[in-house]
Amino acid sequence: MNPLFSLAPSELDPIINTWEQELGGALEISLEITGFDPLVRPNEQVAKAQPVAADPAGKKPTVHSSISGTITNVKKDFITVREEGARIAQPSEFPVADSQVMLNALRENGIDVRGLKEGCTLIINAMPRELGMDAHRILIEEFNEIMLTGLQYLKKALSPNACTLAYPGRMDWTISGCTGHEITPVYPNSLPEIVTKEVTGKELPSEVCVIDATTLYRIGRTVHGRQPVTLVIVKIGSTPYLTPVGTPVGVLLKLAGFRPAEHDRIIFGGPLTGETVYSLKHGVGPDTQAITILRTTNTPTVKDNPCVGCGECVIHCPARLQPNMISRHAEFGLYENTLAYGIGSCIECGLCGYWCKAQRPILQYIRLAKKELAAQPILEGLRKQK
Amino acid sequence: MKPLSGSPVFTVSVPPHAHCGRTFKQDALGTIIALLPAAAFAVWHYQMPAVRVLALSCFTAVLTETICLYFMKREIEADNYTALLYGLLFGFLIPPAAPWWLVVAGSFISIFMGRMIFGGQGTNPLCVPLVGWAVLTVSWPDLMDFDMTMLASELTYPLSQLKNFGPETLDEYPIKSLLLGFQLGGTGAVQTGAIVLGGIYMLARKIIRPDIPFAFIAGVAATAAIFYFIDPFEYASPEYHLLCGATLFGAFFLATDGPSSPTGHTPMLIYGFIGGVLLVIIRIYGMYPDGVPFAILLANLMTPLIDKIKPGPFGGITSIHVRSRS
Ligand code: SF4
Ligand code: SF4
Repeated sequence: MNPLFSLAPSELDPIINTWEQELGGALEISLEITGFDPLVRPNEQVAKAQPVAADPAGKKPTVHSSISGTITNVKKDFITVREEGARIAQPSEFPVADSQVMLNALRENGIDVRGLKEGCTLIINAMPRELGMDAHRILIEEFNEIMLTGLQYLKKALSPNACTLAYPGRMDWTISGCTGHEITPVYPNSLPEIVTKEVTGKELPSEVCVIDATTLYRIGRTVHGRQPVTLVIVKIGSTPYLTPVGTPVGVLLKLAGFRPAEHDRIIFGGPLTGETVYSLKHGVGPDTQAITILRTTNTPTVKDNPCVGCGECVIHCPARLQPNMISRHAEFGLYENTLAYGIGSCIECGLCGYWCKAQRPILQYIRLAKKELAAQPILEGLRKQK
Repeated sequence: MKPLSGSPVFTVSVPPHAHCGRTFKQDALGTIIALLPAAAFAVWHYQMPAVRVLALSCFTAVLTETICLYFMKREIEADNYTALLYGLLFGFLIPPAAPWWLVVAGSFISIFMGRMIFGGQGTNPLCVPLVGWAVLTVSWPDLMDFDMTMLASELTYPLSQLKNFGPETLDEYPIKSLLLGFQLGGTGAVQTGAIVLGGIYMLARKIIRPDIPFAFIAGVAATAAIFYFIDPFEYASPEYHLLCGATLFGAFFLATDGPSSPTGHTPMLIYGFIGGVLLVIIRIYGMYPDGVPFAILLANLMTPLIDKIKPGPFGGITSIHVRSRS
């Protein structure tokens, strides 16, 4: 089997707390706020866990400062905070009320609750998303009671009819109150859609909510500490780093002893679905689980080649699509046509682009088509479905 | 580019950032390598005429593509070896004694009408070298007839013997000599043993998937076996259909051409099998002794139809609004 697709959790090095390390000066974090309204101004003093930006649409989770400090910059896409002082924000309340209120309390404390529905079948996805993204094993193995706190809160908020923990085969992970379900640790078995299929046997059922084990832990931590979680575990190589959200990736790479060179790729997440960053100042997000570095090598890069019809993408697509045809239509702006090829079923695993012999950016074409189609009026989309 | 802030300039790419490392360019080169043993056998059997045909065909193919790309105001892409490969494949199909202008015309027609007219790389609906072959065969049947052009050779063309004198004539072709290429036919296409070696090399290097060649061979064998079973004195046995003419060359090198063949396991199997069945039917009922090129061209034409055979998409979502990932 291709080692890149192995999801079996590995042994971790001892966890490193970045604030106990010599960072060479005050930490300056960078929080991403694209599309958010900033709640602070430059030079304002903020407390740890104080909200600094909120989604005007009220859907995405609020962004909090993960340290006590001074705002140094407020830009369209990010806010920077320099560490100073030891102020801590007031604890929040987590009332036991109806589902909406309880979920909203989580959202305001920085948890992404989009897609969580009342009365669903809840699946906790403890599969490492990609190779080596397994730092959450610490959370399951050592902080199980926090997970449990989170689960209890979620159960009250969602009253799910069933609750399953999906975990990689041969591990003995459990959370009480959850049935367990072993999954073969091979990519793309970690993606929520595939996990759902493995657990329920159904493809894209509407009544299932999948939540990451890490998110469940963060819920537990939030409810338990009555405060947004400000720390995140980011794995670099085989070492997990416990660090404030927003820590610049450059700081972490320095601690890991990695000297980036020209044209390297610094990826938040894994090599198949992660996002590259262009600057070492980019701060890790609350959902960043790993940083992958791809050295400049002679691995083929994306090109604007035409499809050469090798069929590799079709054979490897877990959603049984024809990425070759979808990308051909999307390439020339014929987004409508991609619907007939089932573009809505694409789970964005990236395998098509991984195998494409013409090095086409297939997933990017698919995302483009999805975005363009989603921008159409919703009624139009539903009418076409008929 | 100068770094903005003393930090190195990073590459920003779209996911997936990793790649399996296999490219069509490597594959074209690998296919050319797989063809070399057969080319060597061709040179052994026919000496200079074979070298002349293959070289001329390759040269014309690359030149044609380059000129077309120049007029299309596109980047020259001779360095991806695909034009070279198609030129070589075309050279494999025609008689070694073909006059030079025939080689040039065929190779030019293959690349121009088979490929560039549709937009170049990756767009050909038909297997490129077969387009030139078909035009030549229809336009100059005498010059493309192996018996007529190769009178000087001691070798004979088993498939026309079969067509004209019945299967008992095949007894003079032991399997071993067929494998070693002691038969008339396309310059390289009938070097059966060497073609098999090349095919195995391509399978081992994963340049082609086994689906199409094996389905093609199964189609040939099954159809030939049925006919042989009906009347062994009237029809040739399956092994002769496999080893005579360009059958294996077609199975490994022509039918597997990417753009003109379907994608997905089931469609690939169906396509290969249909090609194999058509091949034997054309050999038995058609007016041309070897049915390989036309069988594959017909199968190519069915590709868009065969491609429609596909499993339903995961979960069968037909609207983008029903489910969108954050
Ligand atoms: S990303 Fe590509 S391979 Fe993955 S589901 Fe979508 S189309 Fe299929
Ligand atoms: S893998 Fe790339 S070249 Fe091959 S069929 Fe798919 S899109 Fe075309």
